[in-house]
Amino acid sequence: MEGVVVALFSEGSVLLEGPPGLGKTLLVNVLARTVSCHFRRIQFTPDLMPSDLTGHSVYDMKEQEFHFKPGPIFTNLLLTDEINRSPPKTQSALLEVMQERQVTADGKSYRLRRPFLVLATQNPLEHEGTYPLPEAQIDRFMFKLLVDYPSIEEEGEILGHYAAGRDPRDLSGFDLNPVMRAEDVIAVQEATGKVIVETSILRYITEIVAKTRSWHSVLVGASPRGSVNLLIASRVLAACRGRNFVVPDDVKEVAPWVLRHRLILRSEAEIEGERPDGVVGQILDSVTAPRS
Amino acid sequence: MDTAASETPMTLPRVAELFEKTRAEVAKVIVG
Repeated sequence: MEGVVVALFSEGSVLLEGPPGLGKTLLVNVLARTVSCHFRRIQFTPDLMPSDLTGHSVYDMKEQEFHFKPGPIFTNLLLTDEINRSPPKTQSALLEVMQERQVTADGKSYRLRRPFLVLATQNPLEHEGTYPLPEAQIDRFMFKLLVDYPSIEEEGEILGHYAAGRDPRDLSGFDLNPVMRAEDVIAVQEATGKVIVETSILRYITEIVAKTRSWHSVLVGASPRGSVNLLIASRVLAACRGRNFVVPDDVKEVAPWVLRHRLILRSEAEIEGERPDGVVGQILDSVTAPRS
Repeated sequence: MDTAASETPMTLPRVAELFEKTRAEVAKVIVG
């Protein structure tokens, strides 16, 4: 949950991966209510076209000209459910817009709202009828967060909501109050830019990312975009923890969120059971953290 | 939403406060 809030404060998009029924969609619904901002949800399906997302031009018979009809992407928080169910053409359209924060149609550019972030869900268990996101495009997600099954205690809490007559399908029973507005998210980003990042922390980040490119079990490591996101996320986390400076533990905490989807492991390493999170952990252990 | 609070200048302590408040609101529904 913390990762999603840090992503929101960083205006960074998130890929949420986990089996169905774990509340990924509910989490985004709740977040949209907590931050009083515009929210749209779109279910990715095999027949979803890029213009279904971005919008399209409609001919106005009366004025005898085309008018652009904006698609659901013109929002603050966009939930794209099961992103890997749509073909690469539609995925690419979304991921390009995520990068450029504008839609170009008929030679005209239309800016998206700010803040703009995509919260995409995908189910790792099903492969039939899915189109895996290309590695180059998955890099555009600031974080990949894994949603796992709840512990017995947590599952008890979930049942407790239902036992008390509160059904998450109707959030009115949960007394949710918005705590900030869309413009506050932009102000948060500006404020976190004041968090001090010592040169030693910058070097720590670059050493970690450089190691992802030369690590024995990694075929392709993280891009410079990975370094930048590691820096931004560490800075935001430091501010969320009430500090005006980044410590190595901030970098270590966000590193799996930022790096796990940016590593392509060698096939022999995968066969031996290596996983990106394990590799990120090994790399963090191998780089000496600066003294804070 | 507390309008007065939202008009408070965005300082780093305010960021930490908003983080805690957002987390607390989300935790009303989301477990874990």
